Amino acid sequence: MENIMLISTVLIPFIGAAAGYVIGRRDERLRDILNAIMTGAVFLLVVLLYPHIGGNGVEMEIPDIMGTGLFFKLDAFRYIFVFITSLVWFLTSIYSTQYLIKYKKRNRYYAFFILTYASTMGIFLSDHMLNLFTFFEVMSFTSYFLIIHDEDEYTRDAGKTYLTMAIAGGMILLMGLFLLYDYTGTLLISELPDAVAYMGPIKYIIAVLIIIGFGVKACMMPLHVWLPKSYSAAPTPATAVLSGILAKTGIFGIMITSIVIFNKDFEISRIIFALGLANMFWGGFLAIFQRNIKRILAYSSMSQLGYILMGVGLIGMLGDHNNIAIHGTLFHIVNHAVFKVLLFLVAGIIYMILHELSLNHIQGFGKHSQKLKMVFLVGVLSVAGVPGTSGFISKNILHEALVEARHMYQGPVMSFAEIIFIVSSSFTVVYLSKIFIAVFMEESDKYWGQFKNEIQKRALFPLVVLSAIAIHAGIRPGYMFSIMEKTEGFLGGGGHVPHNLYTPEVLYNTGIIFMLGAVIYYIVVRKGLIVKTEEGNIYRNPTLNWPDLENYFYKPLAKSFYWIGYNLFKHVDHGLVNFFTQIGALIAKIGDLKIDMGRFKRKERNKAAPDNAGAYMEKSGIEIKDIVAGMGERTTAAKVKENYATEIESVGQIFSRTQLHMNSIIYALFIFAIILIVVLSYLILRT
Amino acid sequence: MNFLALVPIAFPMALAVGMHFVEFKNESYKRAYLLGGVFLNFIFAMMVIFVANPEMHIFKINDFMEIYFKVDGMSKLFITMTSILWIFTTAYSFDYMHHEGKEQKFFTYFLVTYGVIVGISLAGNIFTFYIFYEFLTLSTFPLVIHTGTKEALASGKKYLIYSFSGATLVLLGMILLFSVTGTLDFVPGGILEGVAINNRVTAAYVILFLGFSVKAAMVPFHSWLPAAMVAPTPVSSLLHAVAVVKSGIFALIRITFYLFGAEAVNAMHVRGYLSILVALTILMGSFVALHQENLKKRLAYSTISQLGYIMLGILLLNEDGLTGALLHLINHAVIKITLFFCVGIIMLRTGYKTIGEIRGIGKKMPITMGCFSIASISLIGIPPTNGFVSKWFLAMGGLQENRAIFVVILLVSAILTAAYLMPIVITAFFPGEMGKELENSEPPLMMLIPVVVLTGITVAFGLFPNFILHFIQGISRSLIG
Repeated sequence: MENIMLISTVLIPFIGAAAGYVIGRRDERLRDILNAIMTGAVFLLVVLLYPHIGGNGVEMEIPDIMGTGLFFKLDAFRYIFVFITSLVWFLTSIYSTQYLIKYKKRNRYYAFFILTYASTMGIFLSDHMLNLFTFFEVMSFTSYFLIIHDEDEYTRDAGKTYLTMAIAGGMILLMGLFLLYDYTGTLLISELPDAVAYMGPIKYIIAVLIIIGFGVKACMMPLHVWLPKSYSAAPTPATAVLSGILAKTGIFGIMITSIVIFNKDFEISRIIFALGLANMFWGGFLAIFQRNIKRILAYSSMSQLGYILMGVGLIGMLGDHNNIAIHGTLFHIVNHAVFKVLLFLVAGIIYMILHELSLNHIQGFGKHSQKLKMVFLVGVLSVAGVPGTSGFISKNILHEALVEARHMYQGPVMSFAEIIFIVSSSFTVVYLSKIFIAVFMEESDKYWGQFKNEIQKRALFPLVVLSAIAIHAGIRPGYMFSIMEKTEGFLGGGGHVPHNLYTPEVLYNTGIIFMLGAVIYYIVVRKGLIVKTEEGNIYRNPTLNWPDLENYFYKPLAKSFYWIGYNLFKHVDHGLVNFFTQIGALIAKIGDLKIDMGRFKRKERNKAAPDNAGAYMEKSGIEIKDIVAGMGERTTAAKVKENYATEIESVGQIFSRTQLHMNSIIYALFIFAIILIVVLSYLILRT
Repeated sequence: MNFLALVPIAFPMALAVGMHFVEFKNESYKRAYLLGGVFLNFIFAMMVIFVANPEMHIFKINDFMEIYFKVDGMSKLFITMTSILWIFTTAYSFDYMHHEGKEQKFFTYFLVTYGVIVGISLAGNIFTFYIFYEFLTLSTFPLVIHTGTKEALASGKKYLIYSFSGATLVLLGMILLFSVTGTLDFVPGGILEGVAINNRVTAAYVILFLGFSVKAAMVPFHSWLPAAMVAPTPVSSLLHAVAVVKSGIFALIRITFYLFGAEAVNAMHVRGYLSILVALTILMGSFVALHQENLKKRLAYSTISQLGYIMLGILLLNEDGLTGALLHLINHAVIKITLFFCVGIIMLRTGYKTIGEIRGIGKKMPITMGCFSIASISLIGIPPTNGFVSKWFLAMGGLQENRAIFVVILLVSAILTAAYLMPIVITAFFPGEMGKELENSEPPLMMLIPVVVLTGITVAFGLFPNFILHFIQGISRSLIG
């Protein structure tokens, strides 16, 4: 029974995507209802599966699919991911019905939206790296259709970046999997830890390859370049799942690799830890300068994913005391899914009404929209980590874990890490205040609450649910901890976790972060970024002109790779043809002697005409390769003849004409003759 | 002694003669005749290889010159693949060639080629193989020059010169080998038992390999293939992506594993040099394909690169490598024929030939371009499609030989494959701003059904590869180890 329920969570969306597409061509309303019911049913299934996740969880295997068989497993660790996925998809499906009303090609959108859902569930349930990789690639391709939905220049460009990075990342991941399988002989996640245990240094190469592959999806620096573009290009419900869930597939892959397969290897964890800190800082820093609300939230996602990555690193670094990091990381994964989806959906409502995302245009929009303001405030407070919200709990557990690591590995590096953590947290406060103050606090003449009626209940319902979760998990985190305790067996945890975070010390830390945030907000945003004009405040974004990784590093790299490759292999393609053509041309030049054929007068008349074909070609810029392209073809020769109907013959002319006629023959015969000569002489000389 | 094996060889040729002389009253009679004939021959071929399983010596002048047919795993694989694809291509060709003209001539040679291909797959020794191999060049030559333009004639000349020069090398190789072994039969594991590996054997292998690799479009003998793209699309798709080039590959497998044997080839120390050429082939194909504006040329260079994968698998000389090579022989055939069919449909319905012209064509023919997209993804090697399965085994074979560089080459080439195929898909489906003409120009069902079914096979082989995989693993296990 559990097995059927388990496979249904993937199968139902796969079938539902096709069914929805067919139905949607006739009746869109019916399709929307179907999608809501279907995602709701899957969510219900996931809830019903909860009692079975203890111990080893639910396992199942379908042989022969893809040659290796399909291995699914649902334990407490995977349950956390599966739960947030099904919840978020259920809510965004309901939300999408209103968001997309003015959009075209809704049918295509829903089909790929649900396909992405199915493959994402598949990723989280896979117990075999090959299955995981398969679902991962399917997800990459189906989500591409979500990003490119608008089909304008901007989304096409964003989609191109996304797809390129997804394919390249996928291939790097595949390389890692090839090597892993070659050295261990298995790709079953449950068997891999033992198989990897006795591996030499090659395991670091494998780990790096796999983590790069997953890191693209997890927006790990420096592989994050697709993120701000794609997030702002996609329709908002798609952005919400991209940020809330799809980024987690990368995190999931990295956790499986570094914690489970490579059994919390210290070196690997340290790298992830460092990259996490970099992500956290740089994402937060860039978010401060953005003025497109979706871009702020995109960079905010990058920063929050940095927290999670740091936590993943800490799980490996803390050794026997890593429970605290496990709880912090998993809690933050859930939280980030909840509050970032919430914030994106609110941004979507604003866009739905105004078709504008720039802070300069939407200033003051929400001042009179109390409901929207309330849910957004909950999201903001939660991301910032205000006591009483879920973000407070997860961030501070992560902070405690960092403090523990600082005690364990004394030294300036860890102290520096803690400073980065605190500064990045205050950046969070800064960019969220920037949005909130601009959109919900500033006065604007344009907006006086005239749009209240455009926000329907079915769009608000998901927001209310999500903000309720954010607050409830903040006040009563106990049930969250009880799930996370079950994952300790799988992730191999130990040590004490502080369940009560409302201590003076923690509150003091939070206070510092907020103070620092307020100061930075005042200095950087108020004084630096806002330009006061008669029509109100205008936000500047100086980062627009900064050199970015994509245009200044990846693109030139790819272009030069292509350029070098093409110019190198062009010669392989034309091969010796060029060589022989050159020789022919040389002969033609040497033998450029005119032979009087007795028709001098015609030449007099055609004085302007070049006197031989070789010169004609030089002057008119016909390159040798054109001739090669039309090897054996007489057009060029014919053209020469037509234009200059002279019968003056020179040795060179004869040669060049022979060239035009004989290229392919000369080439082929030459090369085969050479082979024959080589082989025969080899035989004669060596026997 | 039975002459059963001759039926699937002779029957299409008899059909071809009929095609040449009979005047059909109307189009549908002709279609029924052709499709029925090809399908009947498919049945004959299946009966011969799976039920009758004959082995026969037709005639023998001396030990060297002997016509001899035999059925083994490789011939089963090759005949089944080509026969099924022949049916699809026949169905596809009707409407296409109706547009192109000179149908009678086309179908005559098309049928002759079918018989020749069956002959190639059933050949029991290299001499018989060689005879049919030469016939193949001759019977496909009229198809290459079908349009009769100057360009076509020039390409045809090129094709002939390359093929015959290659065949000359083959002949020399055969003579050299015969002088050592005294027999030329295909025996699993090779005929070199008890023969010392001397210079003459090595020279024979190299020269046979180079000779056959002309048809397999290995660098530096590849340039006939892009030139031959002037032929009508059914020819490009079936012959220049499947039958002709794969018969070159088939020959390479025959000589490597049935004449010389993996051990002997390994002992010769020429693999390194040959694999350099093969690696060049893979990378050159991919890089130059990126630069081609003409869709068919782009696919032709892609074929060169993919054939390189297969040759790499052969040269690895281990079980996984050979399994990957044989799988890719089938998978690439299915994928590439789909891609060519789609391009042919575009050319037929709109006349567009280059990537610049096809903006937004996905909106006009969603099914065709949808199939093209799936086939492209498969050629890149993304699961769950069949391209991934063969790539998996090729990579495993490469790693077993401790040659991670081959795997890197495969993956770089995969990224390049994405770079030259995905832009076609993207410009077709997401053209950006464009006119609102949205008439449906899907082709007639006779052309669409083969494309859809073949795409289905692409995904089905990716999801459930075990059936075919076990068969192929059986072959490669019998040849190695």
